[in-house]
Amino acid sequence: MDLSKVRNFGESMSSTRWFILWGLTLLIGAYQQDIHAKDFHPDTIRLAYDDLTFKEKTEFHHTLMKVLEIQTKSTKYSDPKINVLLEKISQHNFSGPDSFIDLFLPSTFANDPTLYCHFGGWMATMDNDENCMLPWSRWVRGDAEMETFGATYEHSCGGANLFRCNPLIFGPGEDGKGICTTTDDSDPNLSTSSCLEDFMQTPDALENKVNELQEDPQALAQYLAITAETMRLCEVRARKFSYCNDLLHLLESTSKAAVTCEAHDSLVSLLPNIVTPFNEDELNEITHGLGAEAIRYARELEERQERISRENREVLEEALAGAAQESTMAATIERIRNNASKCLRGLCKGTEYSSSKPATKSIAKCAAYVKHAIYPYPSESGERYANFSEYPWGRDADDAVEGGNWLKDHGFENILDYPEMSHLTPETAPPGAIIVYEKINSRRNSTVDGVRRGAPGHIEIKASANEYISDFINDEPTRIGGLRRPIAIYYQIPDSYKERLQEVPQ
Amino acid sequence: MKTQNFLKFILMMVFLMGFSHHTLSSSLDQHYIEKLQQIKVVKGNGGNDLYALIRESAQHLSVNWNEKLAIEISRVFNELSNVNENYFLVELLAPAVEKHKDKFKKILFKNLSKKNRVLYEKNVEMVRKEEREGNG
Repeated sequence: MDLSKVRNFGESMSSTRWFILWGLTLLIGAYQQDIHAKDFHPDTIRLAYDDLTFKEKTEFHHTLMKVLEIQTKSTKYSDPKINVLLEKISQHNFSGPDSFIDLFLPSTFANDPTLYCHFGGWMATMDNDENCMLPWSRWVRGDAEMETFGATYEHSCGGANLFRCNPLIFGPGEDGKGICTTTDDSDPNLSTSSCLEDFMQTPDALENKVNELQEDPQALAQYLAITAETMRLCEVRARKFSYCNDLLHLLESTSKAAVTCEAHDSLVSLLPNIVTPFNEDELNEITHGLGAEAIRYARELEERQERISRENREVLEEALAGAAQESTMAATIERIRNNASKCLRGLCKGTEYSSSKPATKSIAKCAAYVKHAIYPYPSESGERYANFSEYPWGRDADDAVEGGNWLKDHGFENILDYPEMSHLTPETAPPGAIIVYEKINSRRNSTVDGVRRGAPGHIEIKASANEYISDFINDEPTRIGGLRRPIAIYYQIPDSYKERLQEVPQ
Repeated sequence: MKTQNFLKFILMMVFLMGFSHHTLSSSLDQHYIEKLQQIKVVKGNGGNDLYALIRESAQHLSVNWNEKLAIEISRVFNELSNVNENYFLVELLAPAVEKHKDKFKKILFKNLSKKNRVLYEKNVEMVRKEEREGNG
């Protein structure tokens, strides 16, 4: 690009013209780039590929492999035209690609984002140049996918040219944190080979490792994950990673020895966490088909979870549908509806009201009125949840936001704690609900169930579809345009319904 | 000469960036003003949607003072106070009151009826009391 032309252009533009240019740019906004067939250039493809997310790249690669696999099966390699190509390759000692697939793919696509590399027993990701990243780097340690392979690199050996080998693969070493081996710790090949060598020199290393894995199904599952991914890596990148032969031999033989009939059941439940569309074949190979069984298990488990959740939801919805009609709650609702226009026990002090007040006007005593409805005066008729003597008045009384504390003491439960009912809102909750809100932007907080919530908040009883009652009657949830945030919806669920709830298998 | 042109370029860019920010906040002011102008009379008790509009407008006003917006907020709040005297509604204006106390309160009181002015002060005190003593 000729910068002098740009400068000359800039100097020739008056201020007005700059403004117009900027304005036009604003009006036009972002523009779209269409790629037409005539623009199908390797550089364009590379740019498009670089723009894909990791998930999209993974899906693209997977689909591409499937297509090539199908193509391979239908290709007649006896075809002279195919053979001519292969002959030319062998004649020129073409040493570029590692595999047949590489021959047909531009270098852009050679970097498989789903491959992991080995670095002294630690799994790591590769950078864009397919260099294995250091296992202690934050990109590797911070990668959530690494959890599949167990602990990440944590304990340094504390010296230059000293490398901590992964204890899951190479044993605990002297201090239990893994062998410290002398090597060039920036080179994955040298580090892994050095770890292998030290491990094989340890007496009874293999036998101890197999026993250890047989006793710890979780560790065995992680070991199998590492083995499967190493098999994938070495299938396509054996030339780059010289440790492949020896390491793979160790991993495969140990895996096959450790997977016993006794371990089947526990492994089947753990393998769904590690099996993927990419390593399923490898896992099946080293576990004698457990990979497929694990997928079946996971599918059946998911179906069972969905069915039980659905049944639980039906039971809870049935329980809530009748909540307002249950005798104690019905009496509570009638009490609070009647009390909304009364001044209870001097609560109107400091206001313009003495014995009665407008039912639609609040006097900032919502928690007091709700409690009074639940713990009525002995002289008041109707069923009650508790005795009035339990009610704390005045400055010692709880804020509305702490309503759950006293409701739980009398058998109420926050229905939002049930995953099947976490979708409920004050608007959709059936009548009979006691709704608790926190006050946002409050200068005062209360700790509720271990969480800091804005006090004093608000509490009200949903008496019907358009009655939300505390010390006043509102025709909608008292969110005050968002200044009150609902944090809990309480109901009393009868035991007869709770007995019908099933535990959702994990 | 070259330095002069470079400085001219930088000044132009700063101006243009500032202008675009101004343009954006001006359009938001207009948005809230138009929304509030559509409310002539408040029905029922107002409702959460109206409360949210007043609250968002007051929040915007707190960071982008606009006299016309302040007037509209005050006018609509007066209409709301005519049908709903609940104390907690004064919290909707809190962002504007806290940030532009003198300016906003002057406009607010000009647009509140005498009765609603008294109500406003009483309700502010009620909010303070609830913060101190709770509502149990």
